[in-house]
Amino acid sequence: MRRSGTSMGAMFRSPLFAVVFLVVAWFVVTFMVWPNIRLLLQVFRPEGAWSFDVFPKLFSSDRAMQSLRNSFLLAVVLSVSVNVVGTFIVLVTRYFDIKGSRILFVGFATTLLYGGVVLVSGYNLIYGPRGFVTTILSRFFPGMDTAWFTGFLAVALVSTFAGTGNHLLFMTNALSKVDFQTIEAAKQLGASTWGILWRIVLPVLRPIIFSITILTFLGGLGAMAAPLILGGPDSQPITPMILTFSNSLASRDLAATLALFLGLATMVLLAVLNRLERGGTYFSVSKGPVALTKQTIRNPVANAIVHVGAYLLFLIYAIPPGPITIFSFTDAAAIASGTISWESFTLENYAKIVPAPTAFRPFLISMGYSAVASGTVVIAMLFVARILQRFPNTVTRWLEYLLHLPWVLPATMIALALIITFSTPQALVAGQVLTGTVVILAIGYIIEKIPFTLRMLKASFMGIPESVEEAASILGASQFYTFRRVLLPLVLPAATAIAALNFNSLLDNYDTAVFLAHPFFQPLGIFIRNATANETINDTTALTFVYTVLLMLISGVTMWLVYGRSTTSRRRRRTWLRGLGSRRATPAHATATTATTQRIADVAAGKPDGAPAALPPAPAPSAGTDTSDPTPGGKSR
Amino acid sequence: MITFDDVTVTYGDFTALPQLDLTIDEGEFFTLLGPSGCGKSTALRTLAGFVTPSRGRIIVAGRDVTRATPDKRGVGMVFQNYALFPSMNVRDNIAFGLATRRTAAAELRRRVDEIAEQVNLSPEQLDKNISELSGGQQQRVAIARALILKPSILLLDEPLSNLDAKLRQQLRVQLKDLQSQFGITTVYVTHDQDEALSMSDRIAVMNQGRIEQFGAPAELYDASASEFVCTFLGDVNRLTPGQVEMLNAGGAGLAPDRRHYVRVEKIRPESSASHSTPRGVPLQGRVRRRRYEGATSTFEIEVGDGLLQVIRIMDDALGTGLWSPGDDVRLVIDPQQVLSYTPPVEEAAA
Repeated sequence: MRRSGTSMGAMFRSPLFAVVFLVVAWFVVTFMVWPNIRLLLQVFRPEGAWSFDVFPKLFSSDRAMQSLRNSFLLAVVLSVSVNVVGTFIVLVTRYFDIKGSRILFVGFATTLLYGGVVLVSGYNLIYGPRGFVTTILSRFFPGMDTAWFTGFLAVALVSTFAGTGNHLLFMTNALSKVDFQTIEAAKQLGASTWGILWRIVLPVLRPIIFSITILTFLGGLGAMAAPLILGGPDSQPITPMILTFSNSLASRDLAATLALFLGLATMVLLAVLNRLERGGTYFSVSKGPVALTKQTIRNPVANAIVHVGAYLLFLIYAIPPGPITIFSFTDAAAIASGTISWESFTLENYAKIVPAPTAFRPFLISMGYSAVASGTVVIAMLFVARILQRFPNTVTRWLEYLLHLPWVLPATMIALALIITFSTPQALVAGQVLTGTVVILAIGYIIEKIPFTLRMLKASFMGIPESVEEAASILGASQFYTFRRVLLPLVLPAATAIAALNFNSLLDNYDTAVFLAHPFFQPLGIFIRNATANETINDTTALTFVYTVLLMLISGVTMWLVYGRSTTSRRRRRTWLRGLGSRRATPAHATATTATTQRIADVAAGKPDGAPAALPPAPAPSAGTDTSDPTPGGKSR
Repeated sequence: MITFDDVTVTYGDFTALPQLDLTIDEGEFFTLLGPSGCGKSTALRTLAGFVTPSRGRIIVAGRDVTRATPDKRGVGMVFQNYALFPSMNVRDNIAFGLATRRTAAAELRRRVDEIAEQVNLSPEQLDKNISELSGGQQQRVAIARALILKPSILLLDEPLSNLDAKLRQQLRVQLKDLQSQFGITTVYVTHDQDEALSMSDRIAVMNQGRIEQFGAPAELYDASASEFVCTFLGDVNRLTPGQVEMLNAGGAGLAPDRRHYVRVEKIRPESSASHSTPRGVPLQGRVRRRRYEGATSTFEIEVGDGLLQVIRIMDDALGTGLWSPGDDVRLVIDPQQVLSYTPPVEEAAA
């Protein structure tokens, strides 16, 4: 059934939607399309005439070519290593019956609490040349190289552990949707533990592995913090090189060309994986899937090996956050020497930041930017998602494609395009220069969060049964009234969760901030990176620990609000629904709210936070409609 | 032959199956029937090897398989939702069991083709994806997958429960035909009494983990051993004390302290144009409501101090299609057809 009135004309009859549409269209053209065109022109039409001189210039630059090679190498290595480690930690926490899997999960989940530059700094402060572990080790092996944890291997290791968060969030969710009956059926037909894993479970997880691989590959390609902090001079990949080149006007064209390479690689990869992903059914075809029960590894030797492997990984994950938290309560001397006594403990580090605005400033700036950006983007996309869902026509479809640009173009390229374009007065923004102002970072953050937010919210709207809207309209509700009173409350839990996740990930952002931040309003990511770059351990180091602990706390609370709380309330709501019995005919509200986290995982399964998906920005069908959670239904057991 | 010998299954404090004793004969279509949570699926899953009993033995063809893994019991299973592997096509699904046994490619191909033909799957369908098949075709794939290993027993766990009514009817017939064709011992689990009655050689009706009665379908229906079986199978009227009194006045001799039931189709009109008056005690009643069902109609008739449901075939030759609300009618109940049960002790005391 096709609803009538999906044309632009119908849309413009609602003044609110018309205004929102025009504002968003202006934003897209001004900040997402035009700057990137400008970037291309800057490279290929530098003085008003077409020129491809930049390529020979690039190819003759050893540093640039080396950085390209490094980037691709890192991307390939990470695509394998992150998938291996990530799949392993998901299997040992969710699929195999491993003793103490809850503890293991907590350890593995630490990378969800701190990521990016903070995580890298954390590892550096523990394993780096002046790190705690290195200091202790060098006491036992006086001749050892204190810089053992640098270079390509260190970058790859840290990036691997940092990258498994997606597995934990999204593969766990996909795994819970594997129909347990298929496992029993395979077992009954004589398949072994590994046979079942290899032939039944992993094929079902293939789409999520695809998505995560894309993310990881692109993450490796655009890696910034890890190589900067741990990489050493020989293993610098593209992104830090772009940053270096963009700092001088003479080499900006080189920076832009490298960014173009990054963009091109991204698009090629997306196209290839999109093609690979097509064909084949991965979702459960059954009507009543049965929830997964953990599998015991029958071979005792294999079981022991998997247990040992799981706990070794646990140690690697859990070690940095532990000492970081402890050191945040000690003085600089203790950190420097790696020896802790009772006297070392102090609350001074925390006491220092509370009254001192200068010390607390980066934190406040980050909070401000994150709040403004995540709030703005969620509110705007609430309307946009509704417009896209309600008025599917050629114009809105194009708008939707364009809004997904930040998934196709690397953050570095977008940031560079913004700086270059808005360093001169632009008519689209009333002749203002934006580069160097506080506004441009907020714009960068908003752009970065648009695709994820839009896709989530659109799926939320799609998840609402059409009958709800029809019921409202039959009762005489206007379009806007229906939106405000009926639809909005249903998607609000999802919107809040998305805002929280956005806020979290922007809080310690470094990659965009390093290009766009105002020199006097530097956010936390940059502060932490600078603190790490210091040669000596001083109070700034202690402050870094404090910030890391605070960030982990904030992230922990956010994750709990988004994931933890909803599982408990889901349980409560189930009892409540049972109490109501069949009186409540349309559990649409329940569906919409309980499915919030489910949907976040679902949608993100196609495209986890922050970068491109193999799927085009077409409506996410499975995510929108499949809100059921797989519980054994009505079976006598 | 399958024997459950004193099989007890517990989940923590909860006993799902207390002391099950049951024997299933070679080649028969045996159904475990009961409401949700009665333990029928647990019994089936214990037989399949997915559940280990805390006590008792399971013997298949003289061999104790209680501790054997599911693939070592010589059973094939069709799951409630078929559990087809979504990442494989039809052929690979069917071949799965043989592939795990490292069967040679040519042999594997031959046997897949053979079984596919037997369950009426066309060669084109073998190359399709599971999601491209209809519910009925998916069921046949699931059956083929279970039968390709030539098991001696086929287990079916509510395989029709997710289908629509019409398809369910069709597949009942197909399933029964396939079972006769292969002559395989079949254990079928369902909560649908029509399904059980129409397909089974024997049925065990289960309630709260225990078998209430087992026997041939007609035996269970006509001579239900317990009140539970009587009310679970088919539609029955429970006679009110007043109605029992009326029947006894006509010489029925029903014990007043017991509970008495009569099935809706066993209450007949006293006379109809082409039939002689049936045997039994006549009762006077008034039609209160009629529920039209196409081939039949159910009438709600006030008799004495209560209502009786009476089902009639809509055949004007019998004159029964002509009853309307308000009509005075005379019914006949044969005391032989009344099923009587002693109420449980605690209820009787109350």
